[in-house]
Amino acid sequence: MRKLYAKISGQWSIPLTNFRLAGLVLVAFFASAGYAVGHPGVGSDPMSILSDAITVSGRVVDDTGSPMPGVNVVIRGTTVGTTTDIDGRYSISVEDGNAVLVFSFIGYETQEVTVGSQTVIDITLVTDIKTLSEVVVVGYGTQKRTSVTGAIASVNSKELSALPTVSVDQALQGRAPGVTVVNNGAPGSSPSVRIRGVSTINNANPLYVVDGVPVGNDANVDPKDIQSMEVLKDAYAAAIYGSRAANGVIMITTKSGTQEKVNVNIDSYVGVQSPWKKLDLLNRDQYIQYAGMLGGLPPRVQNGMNEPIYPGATQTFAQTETDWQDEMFRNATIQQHRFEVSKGGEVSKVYFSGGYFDQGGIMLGTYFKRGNIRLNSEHKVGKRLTIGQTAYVYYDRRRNETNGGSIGSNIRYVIASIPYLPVYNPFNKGGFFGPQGVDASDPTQPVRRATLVENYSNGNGVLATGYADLKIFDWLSYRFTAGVNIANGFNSNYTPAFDSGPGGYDTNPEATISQTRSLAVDPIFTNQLTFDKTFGDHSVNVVLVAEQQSGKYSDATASGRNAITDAIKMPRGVANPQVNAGIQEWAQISYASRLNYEYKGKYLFGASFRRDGSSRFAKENRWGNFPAFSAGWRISEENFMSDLSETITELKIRGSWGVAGNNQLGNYSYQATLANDKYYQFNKNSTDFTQGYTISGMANRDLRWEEVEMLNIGIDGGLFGNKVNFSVEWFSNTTDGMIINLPIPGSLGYDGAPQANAGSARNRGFEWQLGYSSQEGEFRWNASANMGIVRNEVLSLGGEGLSYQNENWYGDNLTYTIAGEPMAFFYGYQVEKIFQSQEEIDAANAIDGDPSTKYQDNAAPGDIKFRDLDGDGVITPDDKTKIGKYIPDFTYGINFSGNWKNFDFGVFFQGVQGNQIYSTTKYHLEGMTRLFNAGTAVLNSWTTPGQNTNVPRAVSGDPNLNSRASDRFVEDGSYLRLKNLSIGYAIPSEVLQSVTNNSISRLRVYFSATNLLTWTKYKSGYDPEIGAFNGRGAGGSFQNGIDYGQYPQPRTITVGVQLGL
Amino acid sequence: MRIKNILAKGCLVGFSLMWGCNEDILEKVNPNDLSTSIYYLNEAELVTGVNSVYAAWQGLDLYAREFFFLHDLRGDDMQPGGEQLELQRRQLIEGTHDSSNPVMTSAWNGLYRVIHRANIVIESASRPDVDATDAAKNRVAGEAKFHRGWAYFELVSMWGGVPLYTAYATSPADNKSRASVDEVYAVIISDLTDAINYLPSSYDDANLGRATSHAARAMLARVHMQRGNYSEARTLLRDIVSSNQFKLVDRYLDNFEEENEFNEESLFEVAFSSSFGGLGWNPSGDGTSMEVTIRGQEYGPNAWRNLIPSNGLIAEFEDDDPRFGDSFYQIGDTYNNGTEVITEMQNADPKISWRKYQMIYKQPSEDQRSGINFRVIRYAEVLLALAECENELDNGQEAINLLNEVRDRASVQMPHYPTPEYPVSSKAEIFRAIVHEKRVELGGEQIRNRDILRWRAQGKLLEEPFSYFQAKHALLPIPLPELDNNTSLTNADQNPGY
Repeated sequence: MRKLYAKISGQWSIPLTNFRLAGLVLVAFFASAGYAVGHPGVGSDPMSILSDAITVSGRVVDDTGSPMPGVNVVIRGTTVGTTTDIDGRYSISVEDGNAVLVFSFIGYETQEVTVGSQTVIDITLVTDIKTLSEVVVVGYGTQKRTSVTGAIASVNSKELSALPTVSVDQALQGRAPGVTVVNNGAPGSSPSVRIRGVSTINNANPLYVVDGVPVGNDANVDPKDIQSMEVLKDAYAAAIYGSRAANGVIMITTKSGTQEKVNVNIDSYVGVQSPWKKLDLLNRDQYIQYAGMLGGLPPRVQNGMNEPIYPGATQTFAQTETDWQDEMFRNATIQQHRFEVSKGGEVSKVYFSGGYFDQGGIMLGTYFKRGNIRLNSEHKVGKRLTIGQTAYVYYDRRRNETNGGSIGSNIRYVIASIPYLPVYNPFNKGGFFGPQGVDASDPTQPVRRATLVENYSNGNGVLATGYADLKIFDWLSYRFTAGVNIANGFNSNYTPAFDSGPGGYDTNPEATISQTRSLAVDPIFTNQLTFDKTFGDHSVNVVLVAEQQSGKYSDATASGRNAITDAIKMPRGVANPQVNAGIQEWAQISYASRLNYEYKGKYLFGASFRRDGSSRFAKENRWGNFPAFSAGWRISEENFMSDLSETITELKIRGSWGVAGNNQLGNYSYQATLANDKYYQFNKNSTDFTQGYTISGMANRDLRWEEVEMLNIGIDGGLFGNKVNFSVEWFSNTTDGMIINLPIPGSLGYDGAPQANAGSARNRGFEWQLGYSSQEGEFRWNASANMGIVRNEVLSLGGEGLSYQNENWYGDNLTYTIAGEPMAFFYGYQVEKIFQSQEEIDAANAIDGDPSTKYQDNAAPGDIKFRDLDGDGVITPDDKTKIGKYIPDFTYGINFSGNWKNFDFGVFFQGVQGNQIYSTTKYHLEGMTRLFNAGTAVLNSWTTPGQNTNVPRAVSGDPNLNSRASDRFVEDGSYLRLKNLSIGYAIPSEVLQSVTNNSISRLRVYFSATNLLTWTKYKSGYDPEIGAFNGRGAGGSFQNGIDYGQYPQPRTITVGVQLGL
Repeated sequence: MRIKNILAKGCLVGFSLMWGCNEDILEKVNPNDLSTSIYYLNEAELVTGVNSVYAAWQGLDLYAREFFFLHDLRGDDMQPGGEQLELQRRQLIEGTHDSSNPVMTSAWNGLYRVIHRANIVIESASRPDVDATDAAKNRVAGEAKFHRGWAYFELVSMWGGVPLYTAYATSPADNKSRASVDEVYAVIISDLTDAINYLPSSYDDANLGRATSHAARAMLARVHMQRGNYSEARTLLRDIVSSNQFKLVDRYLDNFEEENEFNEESLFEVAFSSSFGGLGWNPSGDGTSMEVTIRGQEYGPNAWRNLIPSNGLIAEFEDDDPRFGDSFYQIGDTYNNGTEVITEMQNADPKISWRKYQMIYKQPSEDQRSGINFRVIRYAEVLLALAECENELDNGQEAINLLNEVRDRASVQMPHYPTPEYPVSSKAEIFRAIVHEKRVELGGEQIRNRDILRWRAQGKLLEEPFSYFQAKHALLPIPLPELDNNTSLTNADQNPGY
């Protein structure tokens, strides 16, 4: 099969003139062709008036209390009916009390009510998640859920807006099976998102498509603007975005106007975020005790504790006890305020929204703010022409955590900071106390760093599209879309001068200043023809697409130092001004086609083919071909199933095969260039430098598309009238030609390893989703659960014995990547026991028959005995082994929600199972390599033979390397989290009307708690959710699951109000 | 129908246009960096090539950090200043390192980075189409060969036979297996001989710091001495002396401070400058943030104090040798231009710390940006090396004269040999005096490690300085990442004992 499509690689395209122009001209042509502008049909709603009738009236509202116009109210068994008016009111005459009224509205669960003796029947219609998703958004079109043959998970707007989150990916956590979202901590930081495992060492982030525009690895969208989100997981679903679909595709569709009437919604919440865990650190007296255990008291403790903390202070060090956790963590506010104005109708639909989001950080020196506006509109310009646009404008500002989640993280220094030292010293430059020589310990002062170092990321931009949709015939339409994604960045990093007094560590003699301004402009032009026709039992849908996307990124960094003043934070008037600027460009041309064929609505077949050319590859390797096929069988539609239709409402089996690609690598990776930043001073005073050029990166012109071959089998079903619905998937994805930085030996002398299509990896797994909905009187509820199981295995790294060892931690590489194992598993020694006596050490030394060859150099009673896996009687690197993995066995989510009268509630659990965390936090808490503050566990360190402890002896310098990379620092990372709990109450409309004199149609107040409870065995860090600190970048795959002092997720309590006018 | 006609036509036009994207937009040339195919075509470009070789020595892998650590940890001039010395460094000073030791791996990578960059220059300079005079080509290639020879000398003296590259690799498959020690030395001797022949003996101010023929002579003398060829070494060293280009500066400390770089005593330095900002923590010396070394912060008496002078070195000094106070800070010494007094030093005893290469002589505290050039080769070493050669070649009196010349420095003025402590009446006694003089004169200057290796190999070591020493410690292990990723090497190629 693969050979077959590989042959289809000739030049398909006829190079013509600029094709954007072509599309525009075409649209203009049709637009000016003078199609009659038709008036929208005004439907008449004949109301049957019968004699002897009972008139029943009432009001229909939705589950948020909002009046619902246009709801069909029909008397069962007849064609008699009416629709609700703009206020959701209706009135209908029925023959007698036996009549049953049926209330229905698309997207809501149909309700039936027997009239009986009632004359007023008020109804609350509940969103029907199942029917809402009856139409799913697929690439370049939509499809009925029942016809879908690919693996697509849908997440609705209600789920997406349940959490107080800033980004869509955070909202996605636990909502779709097979989608793993790991938060990365500080406000505004992007989480790591992986769909169906980790397909590549390279960039494994999914592709985000917002309103048809592929925007890359991150979607800047207000989650509350989203109408629906689809996760395309298998080849057939994703292959239409073939070129960049290897890691899955997340499609986002933003809202449009729905209701005829102008609808104004205001949605506001405020809340407080708080840290929810504190580590057990040594207090002052314990610290001094521990310093004594470790090898001697620092000079200050010996004879300086009664000195004032600074000249003139009344407080002495002996009277000081600083809780550095309390100093660094705090409660912080979170708030979002939004309005939406929308109007639907036959001619024009408009949706306009604006919002402001502001999240403080629970750790000092962090926050995120964003303001955003969206305008979406669509207009029928004639019977056949529809034009529309989307536009999103945002401005955001983030204060970043310095060294967030990396080796020198704040949390590391919160642990390490000395309790008898104060936070401030007004006599020091900068105003902070810093450790001094007499403390014999030099942790970076975390409060000073968090306060003085100002690291800001500011962004603003526009994502806008315009489109024209021309219905050439009823069965053929042409669509032209032009879009642009513009992002401005302005990042600044400023550190004023500070010092720690005489003999103090960590000084910054002069202010350091750096600013980076960047601009990215990515336009896209799409031409699309859609053929859609049913001939008798045959339904055919064909899509043809030609698309061109390009991008230009430019940036300039200016930096310098200022020894004169701290007041100027600009790189202006600085001592060595430096500038660095550059431009990067990329482009891609894509031709895509898809055929969907349906026979009798039960036999489904699909085929797609996409061909992409990318500027990131050399001419001869530029084009990639991405085919996919799928088939489905709706068993429930077969005659032989008709007896079971009461039970099995819907049953479909489907399968797909296809290939998707990945070109997420550097824009010019294949081009060999010189590095020009090698400077040296050839003069006496060394105040000027000379430039050096060399070849420091190895280029590879043979780079080609990375490909993932995807196989998927799925079963979808609905039972008992779709009260129960389920979906099960099995998949196997094999990455071939994985673009990796070849591990090259140091002796080649290159700094940059060449990229090559060298490795392969496989992800296999199961996913399932189960839902149940119930209605008993006024109590309606539904429950759903999903789970994704994935097994990751690196099949090859391109050569025998090649490996990656990454994340150097004091001489040990914590992660190891090698064929036959999951990507970047944890690697180290296994702890066997603690040596209780010299006899035990002697015995170990003699294992190999020669007592003079040491089992472990420098071992003494109280040290850890590591396991001699190769049995040679000596602990060597050959005794290292796999000691854990960051990829969980499975991830899951459980959701309950319901309504009772005017109350609504939601409970959402999310969890991961079977992963491990390498805790460098534990290293700082218990490693005892040198004097810093530590966890209380060190007080239980080994002192006497026979002592029952797993903490080795406290010894300065750790001669036995008790703190080497070992399973001592590996902990179970599984957790289950009560991610969200919410309760809402809609003020009854009657009350609202009378109190507000009809000016407010809807008012719902709610309470929501996020991250309320977390069950985990992970003890040594603040939070078991450990992302990768540069989660978005290539290389992120090596860094996951190592807790470098990860910024913890806050517990958030919010109260909110939703108001409809 | 007319409309249908228009529709049909429009449809046709639109459809055909859809398939016509202009593929030229897929051709994007990197606008930021020069293509390798259009460079090293003239003298100026060749010079930038060799500049990058010098810059490589500034990287964190080499003189900014790991190179001086590796030498200092393998010599006996230093001991840990306390428990803050990181594990990977402690392993080396205690002899418990294995092939995964990252300090050693960094230095290995750094040295090969020098070799790679030098190979590019040497190869480019040999191309006939380069627009430069032969003299210019030879000079640039000579500089590159000085660096390549030096780097291989570091490698072969610490690791034994190593992969030998005399052309730069263009594909991962170009990796090499271990060459023999003799093969590596052959390249080193050839390179340094070429450097002697093609390099000038001095430069104008704008080129100060480039390798000279004298630097190459001194380096080649080191090489010959390491191989036991004292006669060849003596010839080279005598040439340096007889050039009368160099002399001992009056003030010993002028060799370790920022103000007196490239003085008359200096044969070769690795340049640093604090004028361009802080340390960029970059292994390869890229950018303007790698123009400083962290040595001040690592060793400073009120900084990290990771390594301090060893008790052995402290004991080595004769009473009243002024070089003791010039080499070390003690409690009560002043610093910051005499305005502050050292009252305390953290952690381990003795409360003595390095003064050589520390910045606090003129500033209140150390930070990560020392701009003091490393004096790689200075004239005192030339004299002392020559003394050793003369003694080895049974010219004892000349050796004693040279030793005394070093002790005659204006700021030193130590009594001439023989002294009661160091009689010089026999070859062995003179050798003992040379060992002593070299140790106190050149302490902490990355000389001692190689001396120990040489004397041990030649059976001259007066006593084994390391209690941990086993046969395997004569060589460092081939770094594990090299063994893993060099397809020409297997575990069988590892040095014995690792």
